[in-house]
Amino acid sequence: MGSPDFSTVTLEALRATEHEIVCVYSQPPRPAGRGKADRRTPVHLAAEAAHLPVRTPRTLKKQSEQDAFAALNVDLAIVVAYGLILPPPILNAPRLGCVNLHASLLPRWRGAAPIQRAIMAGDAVSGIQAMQMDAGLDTGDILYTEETPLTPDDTAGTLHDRLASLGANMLPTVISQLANGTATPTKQSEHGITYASKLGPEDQKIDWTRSAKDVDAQIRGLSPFPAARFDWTPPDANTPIRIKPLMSSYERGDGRPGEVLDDNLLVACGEGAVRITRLQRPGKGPMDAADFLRGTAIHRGQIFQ
Amino acid sequence: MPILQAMAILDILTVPDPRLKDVSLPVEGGVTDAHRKLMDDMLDTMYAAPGIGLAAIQVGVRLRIIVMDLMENDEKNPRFFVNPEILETIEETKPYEEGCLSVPDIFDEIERPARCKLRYLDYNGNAVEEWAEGLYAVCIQHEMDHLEGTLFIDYLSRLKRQRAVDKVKKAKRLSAAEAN
Ligand SMILES: [Zn+2]
Repeated sequence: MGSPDFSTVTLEALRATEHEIVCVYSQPPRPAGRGKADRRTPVHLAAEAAHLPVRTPRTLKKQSEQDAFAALNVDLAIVVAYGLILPPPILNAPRLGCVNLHASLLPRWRGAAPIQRAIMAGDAVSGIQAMQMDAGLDTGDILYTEETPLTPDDTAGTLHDRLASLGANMLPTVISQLANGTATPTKQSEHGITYASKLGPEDQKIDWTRSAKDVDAQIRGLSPFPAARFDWTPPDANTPIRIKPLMSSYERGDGRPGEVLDDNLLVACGEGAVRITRLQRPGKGPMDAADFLRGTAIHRGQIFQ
Repeated sequence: MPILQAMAILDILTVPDPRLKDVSLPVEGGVTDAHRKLMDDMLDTMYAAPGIGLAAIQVGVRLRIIVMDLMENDEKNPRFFVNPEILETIEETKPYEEGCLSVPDIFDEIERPARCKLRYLDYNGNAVEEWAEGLYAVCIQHEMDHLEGTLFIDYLSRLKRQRAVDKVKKAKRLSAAEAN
């Protein structure tokens, strides 16, 4: 069960094992706009290419969907970034239950956006865990953990890819341990629980009065999607343009929060300064700072809002 | 396979438990780890029930704390409220068929303001001010009533209310008898 790319990597890993994949569940195709065919999720497409049966119910709360799932009579369900609630009849249907690959070190970052929240909070380490699902919000017992240190170069994108491949690598072991009864479910700690609440527009807007360390973490944590944002009014224009910074670092620097301190996108924050090294303006693709500045010069003394 | 094994599930008080009539007390001195632990356990309890909102008094803790998850788009996204206040409501009201984990299996239409402006502390103790509308507005007003010792059945006629309480009492007797 899964929808974004994370699940595609997992599906490939599953196909490489000796286990039979009975069915793939994914979110329903999304309307793609006028005249276009509905857009299927990546895992849906991957499953079809592999000639696997695919089901795309809108919800699993309906008795008929629960019965249909139970009728598959599976040993195990692997759930990755699926995005639909699994009610108890679904959780209970597989002989070995439902196992979720969760992209954080639980109980830290329970919930919807663990990868982004870990980087935004400046965590030093993250990881991927296999968890025996229960009816709570990522409260189940942990079956397997792979940790990875976070570096100043990590974005949500790089961490996502790294965790997806760590998850895919550990999955065969997790499954055989469950199958032969050698799995060691471990309770989550009662301490250090945090919630990775869904990202909203208020998470994207940069507040330049925060410390450079925080702003840098926000930029990288939201990159490439949905991306942090700020407004800049070019000296020859009246209306601001919205800029999405995609990569940054932080260093020393003094100035009014939001003030550009040199000709290479060093921006003063509440404490220290952030250097933006990759960014995007409306209607253009993402660009490295040097390329961006060749088309759009932003000089020292400009103010970002 | 016992799927609920990992969760911390608390007992939910049901009518006519007199504690549900208590007025809850403000959380003093900010949100501590003890409050967070209570919110974690309340959240587990709410998901297991399952419900979309739970006030601390419903698990017998007399504090102005609420957990909620409206599960919009069939996705979990919990909210936490400490010392919530309603700063403002609009005049327009809307009816909604409400239910309550403390009055199981009883549903009735209640009319409340369609939007309200809230102030509260979140899980991390940060102050939040925002407008609630739709199901969010319904749910937060229902839960905040609990903090004053008010249940949604208190808005119904005396006869309907008595019938609801009797029904819950009877169901509880039956399930207790079954358990023995
Ligand atoms: Zn209630």
